[in-house]
Amino acid sequence: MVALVGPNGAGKTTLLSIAAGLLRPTSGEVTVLDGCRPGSAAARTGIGFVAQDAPLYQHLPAGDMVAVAAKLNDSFDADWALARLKELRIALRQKVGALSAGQRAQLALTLAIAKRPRLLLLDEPMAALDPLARHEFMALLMAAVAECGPTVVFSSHQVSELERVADYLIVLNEGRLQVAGPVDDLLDAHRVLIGPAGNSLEAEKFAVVQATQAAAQSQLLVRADDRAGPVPPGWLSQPAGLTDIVLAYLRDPGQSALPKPELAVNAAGGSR
Amino acid sequence: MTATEVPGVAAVLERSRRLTWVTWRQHRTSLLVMAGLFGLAAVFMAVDGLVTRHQLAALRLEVSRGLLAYSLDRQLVLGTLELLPVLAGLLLGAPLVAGETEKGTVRFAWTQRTGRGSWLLAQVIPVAAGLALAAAALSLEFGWWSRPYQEQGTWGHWWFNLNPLPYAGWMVLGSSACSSSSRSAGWSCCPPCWWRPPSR
Repeated sequence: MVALVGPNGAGKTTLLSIAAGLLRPTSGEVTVLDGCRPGSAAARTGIGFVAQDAPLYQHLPAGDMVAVAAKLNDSFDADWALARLKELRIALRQKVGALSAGQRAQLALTLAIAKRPRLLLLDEPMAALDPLARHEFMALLMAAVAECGPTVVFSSHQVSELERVADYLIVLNEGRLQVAGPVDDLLDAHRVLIGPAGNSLEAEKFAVVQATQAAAQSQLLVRADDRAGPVPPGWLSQPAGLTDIVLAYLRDPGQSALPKPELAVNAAGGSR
Repeated sequence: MTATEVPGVAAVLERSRRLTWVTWRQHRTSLLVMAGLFGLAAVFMAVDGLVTRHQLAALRLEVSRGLLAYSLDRQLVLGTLELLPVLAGLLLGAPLVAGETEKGTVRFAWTQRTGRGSWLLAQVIPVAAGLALAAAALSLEFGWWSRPYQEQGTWGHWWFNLNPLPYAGWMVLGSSACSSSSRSAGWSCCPPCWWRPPSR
């Protein structure tokens, strides 16, 4: 489960649209599903895509929307999709346009999962949802992942809601890859150091991502690699939350945390 | 690899059938409305053509005078018939591809297994073919209906013969991917659609 995070205009939608085969990269190259060209028949078979705002045919009843998706795909588990709609209490005769935003997102997700894809691309699927609908959407997604095991790439500008579910985090900023790595590694590799105000001397050993000076203390978000050694006396070390880490990087586009710099340089260059 | 990538004829037919169903399901309301309008025009011309012939035979009208007055009414009918291509463009052509681009639903349609090429063909071909067939039938009927007037010379040669071509033209223009509804409407009213073949 990959979380794709970034501010508005960072290139998340562009990158996902390229991966889904809707756009062509102006430069660079994107491959999906072990070397398939996005938009190729194999890629279209193996990828389930839910575009931003979950576009579906508003004038069709939900049941017919399932039939349309079934006819547009060679393998489509219509029975499974209809069973999900029943669970979600979406009447088959209800027009898609009359569904709530939450129900529409659920329907779009159901249609994408019923393709039995190996890769599920979701472009800000929860942006328009209220907290309860977000929770229900997440539940459907997690159940489907547990059941069929697709890789999920999930874009959002809400880090907090991904923190509990994402295994891998990608931060895109200004069309550039800024952070990429397993969530656990990123959490392990960052610490928050709290110490006396104005005293940044001791902290120089550490790679400081962000320094916040308050009246009585300084707070540093640092990359805690092995060379840094123990925390200097007078400083308190705390684990960093994923939200803190992401925000710190987004505030300073010059910083980056990439697992393999030589590979990651401009890996997202094609997203612009 | 080749078995999956080069589908047999049966598979292609099966897929076309499925895709045509999608097109029908998406647009069936406007297709039915258009069919109804065509049907109305056809029935009107059939009844009116028979009545005209009956009256001509019974009354042996002083044709050049009598038919002139009569045919003035019928010129209004012609005006109405000329609206059919406009309606075809607006009702069938514009929503077909332009409407989907505009609403963003192509992001759904084009990322399914079918892909955009087959999808486009399955959207445009059945509707365009149906429209051309209906227009061809209607133009034959129009020729029959208007024959008494043409024989009497009350209508000049310049009168428009309903022709399948303008209809297909409307369709294609309407469905050409315009990005906004105002533009799709604008396209439907654009002059090339008013082109008609020279009369016999």
